Amino acid sequence: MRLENHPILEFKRGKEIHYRFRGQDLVGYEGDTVASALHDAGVRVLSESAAKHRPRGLYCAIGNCSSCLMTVDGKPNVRVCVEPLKEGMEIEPQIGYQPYDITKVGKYKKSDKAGIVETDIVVVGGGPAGMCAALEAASHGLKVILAERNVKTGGQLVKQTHKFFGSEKQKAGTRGIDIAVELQQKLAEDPNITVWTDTTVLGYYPGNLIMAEHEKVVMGIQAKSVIISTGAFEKSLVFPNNDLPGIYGAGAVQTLMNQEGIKPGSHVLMVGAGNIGLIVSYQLLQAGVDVVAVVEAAPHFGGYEVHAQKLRRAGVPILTSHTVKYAFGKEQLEGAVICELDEKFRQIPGTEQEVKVDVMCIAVGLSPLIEMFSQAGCRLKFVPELGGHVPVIDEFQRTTVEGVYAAGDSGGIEEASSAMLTGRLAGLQAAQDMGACDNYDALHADYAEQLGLLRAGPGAAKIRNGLQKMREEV
Amino acid sequence: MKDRAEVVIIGGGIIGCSIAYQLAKKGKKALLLERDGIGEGTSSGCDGFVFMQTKKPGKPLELALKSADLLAQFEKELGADLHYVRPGGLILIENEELLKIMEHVVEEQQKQGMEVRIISGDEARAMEPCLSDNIIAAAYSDLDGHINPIDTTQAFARGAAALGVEIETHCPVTGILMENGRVIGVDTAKGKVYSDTVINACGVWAPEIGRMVGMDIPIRPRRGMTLVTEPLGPMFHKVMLDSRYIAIKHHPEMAEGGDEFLKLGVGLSIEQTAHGNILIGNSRDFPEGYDRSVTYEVTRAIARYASKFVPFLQDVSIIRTFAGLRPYCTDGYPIVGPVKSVPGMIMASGLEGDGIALSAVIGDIVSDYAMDGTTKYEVDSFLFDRFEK
Repeated sequence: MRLENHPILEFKRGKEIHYRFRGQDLVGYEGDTVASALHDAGVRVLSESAAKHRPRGLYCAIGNCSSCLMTVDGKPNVRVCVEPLKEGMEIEPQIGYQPYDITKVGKYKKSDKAGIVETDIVVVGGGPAGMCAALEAASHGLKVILAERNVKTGGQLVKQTHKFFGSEKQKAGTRGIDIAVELQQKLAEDPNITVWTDTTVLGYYPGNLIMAEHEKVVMGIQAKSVIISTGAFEKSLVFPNNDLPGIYGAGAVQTLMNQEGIKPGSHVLMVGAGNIGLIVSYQLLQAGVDVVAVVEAAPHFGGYEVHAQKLRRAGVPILTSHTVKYAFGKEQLEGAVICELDEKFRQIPGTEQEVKVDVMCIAVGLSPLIEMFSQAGCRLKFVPELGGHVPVIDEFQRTTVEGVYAAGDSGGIEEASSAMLTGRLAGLQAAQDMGACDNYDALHADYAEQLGLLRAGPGAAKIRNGLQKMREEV
Repeated sequence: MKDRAEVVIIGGGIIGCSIAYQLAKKGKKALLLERDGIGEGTSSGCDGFVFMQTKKPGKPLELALKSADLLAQFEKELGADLHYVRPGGLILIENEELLKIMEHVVEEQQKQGMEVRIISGDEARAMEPCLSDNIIAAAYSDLDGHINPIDTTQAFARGAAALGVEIETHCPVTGILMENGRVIGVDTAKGKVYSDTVINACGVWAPEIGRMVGMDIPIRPRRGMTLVTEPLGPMFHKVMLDSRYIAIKHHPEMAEGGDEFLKLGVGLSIEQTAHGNILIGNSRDFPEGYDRSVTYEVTRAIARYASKFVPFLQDVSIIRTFAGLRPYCTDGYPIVGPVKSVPGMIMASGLEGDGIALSAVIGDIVSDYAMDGTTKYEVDSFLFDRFEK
């Protein structure tokens, strides 16, 4: 079902797009992904898993997991969460691994467009950190290629309908979606920046040579420096039937609701009361969806009080020391059993409660996407406070490999405002290390101070501890 | 770790593990020493081909045929699913010049009694509908197959351990103990082990052990890179190679002034694993030292070259790349058997790209030598002595 009335967002539907699912004629709109169009049509079971043939649905909605693989126009393993819907598409569920239909694909075309392009800096990932890193580096006269896997830049900003905190410099009071538009405009106006969307970076080779698939053609990018701002992916939670369609990562619910304008369901159980869990719960209410409860394993919720208050005023219970015992449902989620936890996080028998929900939203934290750091040979360290394995970086965003910098969540989980600043710092440092900066000291002092303020509060103690741990051996 | 063993095998790759297993079956329990983990070197950096058509007519082909049968037998007796199948293999031919050479090669193989034949491009496409229209013919044999090399190595190791073989991983050998000119044991990171028989099954690293006893073993690491695709339903039924590499073996002058693919040492190899991933290879080059990294130029060239033969591959996602080091021996033959100048030392290395296919028969040969000092096979031409004349 599509959202029509929303207090913040206005959904302008593009023209009608006709497609077929299992031989049935359906209609979506321009701007839909295959997954969002199918959700609108009430299709949540997308495929079957390869080994046990369990139903599979959307989970991350940003192209990171492989839960939504379907066969599109004879091509299997298509991540339909990021695949734009096109006129005449034939979409089929995927039962395990499917062969290609070679009558539909694979006409050999020689693509000698493919070569190696040279640039000063390549930024991998066009979220808030990558956008700011590109803008900063370009402001010092450096040529930058910003590579983004999706069809547009903005990363997770494009679904943040809430107003940001911090100071004026960090866009406090502005909604994430508006910050995204502002950064996109600046990128487009900067003559030093080339934005490559629909570009998947495939590999890092010694000497800062990057292999990328750019608009379906494999290209090389020879850069002097690489800034990695690949972001993060959502953690999962282990309980029986946690793979049922209808159980989503919190980011996926945001994508469906705030970006695609699709109502994810009617009754939601939110798992996790950190900032993401609380904010998404409130956004669900804004979209007219019932939030049955928020459960949180810890005895205290981790998010800001102001977000919790908004939920309490709307009558949504925040159940601390609670977890999901199991989920149930035949083909898709029909409900869950929650229970209380003791002080050692053990389930307390006899406290089980059944909740009838068609959506469960998992907001239990993020893990940095560190594959590229690993491939580049950067030293990695396990720091749970920063989300798991992270590259070891110094206060200038430099990794242990010369010419490779980290920006944003891929270097440790913080929040969007911090990501924009670590992006600025990485871009600035890359420029400085190339001898392109005239005003390094003043800029560095400014960004470092702003970042220091964001990391100063009691809520950021975990991040401070994590950074200290990560740097212990530097 | 015990300080005395009937036999010490250095190297826990597929060759060392196969020897350990077969030697135990014959009655001697070896101590197997591996510097890293089982099968972590060349045996996991390769494809799984058990290809007969590529073997040189004569001794290598005869041994390969024997080895292929032994692998099937071992899969049964080890009770492990090694994904060993023999669906047949195609060597793809793109032009008349290559066809002429392959006709000659096939004729020679037929004279040896091998079941192999030239088929037309259409016949090849009937077997493998994904093949390009540019393919004019192929050499085909029912005998070719493939196996999971990592599982096979592990299964040999488990089979050996079940028969009482002691396996010591992460235990580098630091020296060879000698007395009166003969081997009496090895020194390791975990202490000395005395033994009258020491087997060097270290593959590309065999020269390092050789140097400890003054042997100059002419084995060099030759790198090969492989691409791994997303898992797909069945797309390929056969294992496949292109004919150019084989043609060059017979006519080295063809390599000169070649295209970008030849310059990078790129050829074609394709197999689809039991899990659905397609392994696309391959390349040959001599890296600096033991460098096992993949390069931009070669991986890209492999992808482009493979797409010429199998067009739909250009739409398939590559999810991983890896490289391995083949133990290339300068005269093209392996080094197998006792070393006359170093009594107590037995060689089992230098199989280049044939190690997986020949693992079973080499294990049989070397375990024979370790039991009785001789073998039922006529393989004197593989002795290290040939380099000492």
